[in-house]
Amino acid sequence: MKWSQKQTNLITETISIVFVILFVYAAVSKFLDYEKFSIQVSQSPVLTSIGHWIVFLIPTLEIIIAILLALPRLRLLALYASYSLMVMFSTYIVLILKFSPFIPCACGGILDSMGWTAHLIFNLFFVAIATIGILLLTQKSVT
Amino acid sequence: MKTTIVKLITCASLSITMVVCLYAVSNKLTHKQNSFHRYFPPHPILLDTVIHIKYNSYYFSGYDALNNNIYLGNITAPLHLLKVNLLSKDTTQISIKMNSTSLKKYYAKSRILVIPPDFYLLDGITPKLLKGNISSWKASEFMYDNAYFNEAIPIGPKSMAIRSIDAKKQELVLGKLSNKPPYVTLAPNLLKKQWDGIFCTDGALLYNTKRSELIYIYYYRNQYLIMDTTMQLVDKRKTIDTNSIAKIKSKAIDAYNSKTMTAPPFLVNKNSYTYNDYLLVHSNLMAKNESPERFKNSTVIDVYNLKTNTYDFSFYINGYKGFKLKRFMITDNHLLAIHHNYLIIYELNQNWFSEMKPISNQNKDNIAIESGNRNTEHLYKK
Repeated sequence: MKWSQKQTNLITETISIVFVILFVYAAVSKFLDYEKFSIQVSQSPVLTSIGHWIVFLIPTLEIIIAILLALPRLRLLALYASYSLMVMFSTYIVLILKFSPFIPCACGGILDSMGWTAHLIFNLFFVAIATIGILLLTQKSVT
Repeated sequence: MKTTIVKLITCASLSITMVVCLYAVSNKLTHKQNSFHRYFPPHPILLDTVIHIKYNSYYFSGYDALNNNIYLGNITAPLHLLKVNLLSKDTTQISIKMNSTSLKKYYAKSRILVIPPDFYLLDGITPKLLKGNISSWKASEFMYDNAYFNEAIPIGPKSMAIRSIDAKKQELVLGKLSNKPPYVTLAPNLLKKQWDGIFCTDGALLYNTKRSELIYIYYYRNQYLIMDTTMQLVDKRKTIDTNSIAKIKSKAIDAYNSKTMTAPPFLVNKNSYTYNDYLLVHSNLMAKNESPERFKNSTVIDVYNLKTNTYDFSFYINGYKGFKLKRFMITDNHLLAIHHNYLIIYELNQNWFSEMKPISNQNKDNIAIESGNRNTEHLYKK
């Protein structure tokens, strides 16, 4: 099963790299346009009263997770964290789409031009690849 | 493998619970119940007809009481009007012509107001004021129009009430335009600044033709001003809710050279309309005696009587095909509502809108019933 082992490693590594790129990009674009981002978050109907916490917390978390993903020993933990974060973002979008009285404008960067539904699909895709990564990593450690 | 799946599911449910809790906390803080009551009489409006008007960009332009017509303007087609006859429900398309080709520019933010026998085409950005007759639909210049404004309403043959932005203070200000020097007279003491002078004083400028009074109703606080046509304050009145200070936060984004709200605004008086002795307000706040379910799915309109200075009653306008009410107006016999691309015509129940018609003997009985009902309402409140 040596070939399969190699392939598994390749897949989990690719998944980690994709997440690192996503998180670093998202965090950097938020910090670069911090003022705009903080206003957008506080306008969100879901986060009105707690927005000021989120503004700092989210990009910081993204950077930390990106660093953890780069360390092979902590990769599994980091994938769990990425998975949870993506589930949170998806839940947030579902709440916005289904329950919010109005839909606020979206986050920064290229994601800005995405609609909320496209954004949801995008997020669910990342939830799926995080799941695959976690399953592959744990399978490897068992065998 | 099994433990991994259990872990994944646990992580997912924890994450979902966390976001839902955040939402619940935030939602509770923003939708606190207000300590006031509304009075809902039975059936003040009755559904008459629904007209499919094709576009969702229509707004109410005016009412011709003599011929029972209402006019709808269109935001995206500034020179187009739709005439709807309230008796036959027939619709007619109208195109506005310009007197000279030099006027025929694209007025992106212009609005049409129909005040029979005239109509007005008002644009505060160019700025341009045009007027014409509703028999020819030909617009031409008629008065001094070099002042910028963001709201304007004709209050005389050659005068307008306007709302503008004070160039020095960068704050909203009411004023009057006339055709004689000094042309523009500002009334800087009318709007009372609470925070930034832009968002906190934002509101709707209305003109009541019957009473010759201007009304300025704030969006974010429970107050409206009544002014005469010389822009003198006649009275300051309160809407029924308790929100006297605008709950808004705004901030300037220097990088974009703009000012924006930093929290969802706490809207009080979302939309309003005045006709005859009535002021109708689409309120965004739920009273103590309302079901949240009902409030969520429909729009509540509060009816104020300008003559007696009282709150008369409230009623609901249900959503139509999933679209909530966007704009509304009333005429002598009807209430008209725009929901997305539908125009819904309701008949007014004259028992409740008693000011609409001169009191005949028959109506007096109804008024007795009305006051009777109101007494039971007081019992209900206790």
